[in-house]
Amino acid sequence: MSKKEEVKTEETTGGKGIDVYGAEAYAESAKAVREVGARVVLSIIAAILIWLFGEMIFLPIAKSMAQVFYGYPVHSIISFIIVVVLAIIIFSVFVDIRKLTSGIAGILAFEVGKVSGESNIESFRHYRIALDGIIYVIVVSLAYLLFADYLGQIHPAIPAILLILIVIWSVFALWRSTRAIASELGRHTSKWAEELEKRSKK
Amino acid sequence: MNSKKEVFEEDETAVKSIKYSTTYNLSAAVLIWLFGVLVFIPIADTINVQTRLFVNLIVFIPFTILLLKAVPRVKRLLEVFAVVLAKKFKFMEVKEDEQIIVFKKFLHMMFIIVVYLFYFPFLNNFHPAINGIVLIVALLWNFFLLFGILQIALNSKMK
Repeated sequence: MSKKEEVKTEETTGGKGIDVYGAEAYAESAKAVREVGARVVLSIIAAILIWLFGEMIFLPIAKSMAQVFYGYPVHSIISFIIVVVLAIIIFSVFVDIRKLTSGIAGILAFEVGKVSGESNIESFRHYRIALDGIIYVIVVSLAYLLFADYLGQIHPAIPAILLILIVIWSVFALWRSTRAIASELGRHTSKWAEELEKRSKK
Repeated sequence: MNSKKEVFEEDETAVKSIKYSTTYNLSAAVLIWLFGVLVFIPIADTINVQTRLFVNLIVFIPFTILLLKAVPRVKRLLEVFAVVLAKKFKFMEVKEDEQIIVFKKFLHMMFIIVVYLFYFPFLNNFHPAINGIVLIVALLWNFFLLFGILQIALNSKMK
């Protein structure tokens, strides 16, 4: 490593070595997972229970009723209520989910970095941003699955529009994630390309 | 000898240029393909045909843009690979230049097959007939490439 790079690394780590920085980041991520993990898991269990009861009990009962209130059938109203409750549960732990996903991303980034022998703080950050984006897309897709059926009961177009918006957002999110990891991939492929170059010269 | 040197110099510049953007474009395309084909299109399929088509289109466009950006450099990479393979696996009495062409054609065939397999779910969702047309084009293209390889092999045998 050149002197300039060493100085830069020292600046970004605040004078700490990569091992110390990695261990601290790992500990921080693990702490975040520990702190918010239980709350998030409980909220998810509550959301799944509400979804199950709604889907298996309340909606079938509501569908058997012929009454219409202000032009809306009972099952649409029940679905709307369940959607509101699910939204409140999900959005109340939204910040915690964000913390949890970035915590998991941090842990994964540390593990991935350890496996591939990374000794660069920038690499760790890149892995973290990339994994954060991918985990976030997965979380949003799973959350959508909770809402989709109930939104469809309110109006068939709502889940379709929401899905289209999610797909557009996730394309950009995945694009951003790959941009973060592009320099890492570029570094690995350049090593491999140099090897290839040597072989073709032999 | 001179042409050999030129090939090596070209290889060097190609290898250097594949560093960043190709990996970025290809990895982004693969990631979008994975999420699109394995997550979003099946979800859209549960809503209705129109949504499936629309989601298919939304995933198809960025995938194609990223792939088209990567294609020229991937082609150069295939050429470099062809040189390496030609040096490693020598067969029959074919000249080295011709061997490079044979491997280049072979790698192009592989590339066409892989790209077609990536596009298969999208095309099938648009319409099975579109998928059929593209498959026919891909098969014809592969046939012509294979024909070229056989021609080189037969010419070398005749000599």
